[in-house]
Amino acid sequence: MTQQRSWMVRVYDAVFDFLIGDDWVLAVGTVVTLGIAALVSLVMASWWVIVLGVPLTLVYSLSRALQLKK
Amino acid sequence: MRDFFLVVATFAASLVEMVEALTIVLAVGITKGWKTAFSATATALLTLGVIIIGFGPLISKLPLPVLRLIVGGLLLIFGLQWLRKAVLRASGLKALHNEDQIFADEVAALGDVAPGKNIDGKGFTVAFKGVLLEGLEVAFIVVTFGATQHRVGLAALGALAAAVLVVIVGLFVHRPLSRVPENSLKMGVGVLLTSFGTFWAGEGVGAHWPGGDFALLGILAWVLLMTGLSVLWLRSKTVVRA
Repeated sequence: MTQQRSWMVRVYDAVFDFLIGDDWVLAVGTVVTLGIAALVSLVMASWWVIVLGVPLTLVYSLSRALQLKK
Repeated sequence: MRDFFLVVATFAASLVEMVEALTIVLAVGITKGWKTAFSATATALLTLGVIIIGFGPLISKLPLPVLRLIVGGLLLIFGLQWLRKAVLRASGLKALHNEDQIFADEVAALGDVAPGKNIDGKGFTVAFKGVLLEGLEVAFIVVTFGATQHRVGLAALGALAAAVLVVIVGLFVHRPLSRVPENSLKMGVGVLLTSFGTFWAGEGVGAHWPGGDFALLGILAWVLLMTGLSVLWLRSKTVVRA
């Protein structure tokens, strides 16, 4: 049972590391940006939401890395 | 234009990952014997082949808007991960990838027992895991990039060219390829993945890009500019602190 659990934990860790990576902010920021863009596209052009949201997500993640280094 | 970027992205991403995998395979080959290293590499490549053959057609069957949203979103997350690492390394906040050091660490971890004639279990696991994990990123890029443009074959060709190049150079030099500008390549791939991801995910959520396909060039320039500015910003923060 413990062996089976540790195998599942290892698979979960590998998938998490593959998709989320070093900072979960990138994944969450991407999903939030795309979600807002999808909503905005119902009423007006929404490409600018993604163009602004993507670099903002990166910069926020980098600023978190900078804070951690301080 | 898309085909060109497709080949460039898969070639460069594969080159970076293959160089990392080669370091591990060389360490296993030298310490545990080449039989162990080659059999583990072959098994890992076979596993990757099964994954690509299994998932490639499966992904291609999704409706185009859904495919673009899922693939674009994943490429975006993936590209941002690569960019984050590359920017942190370029600005000195993260240590540069050092293949010589990684090679030395792997050799030390594997022990100095003389290689035997049989396949070594520990060495096999290390080489298999190394090739599979590094290869998974390549497989992901090949399948997603290729499927979205219906050019999985072309994407695989870019990856194969990188694999052949790394194997040939690895056979000749017999040591880690520490002179490959990994961080610059990683940054380039990060820019390409983020740009393509932005474009496709945008189309997936219903955004209409001004200029159609040509918007991709604008996105590419924008991501490149943001990356450069991020490096300059972080470098200025590091210099001030120093």
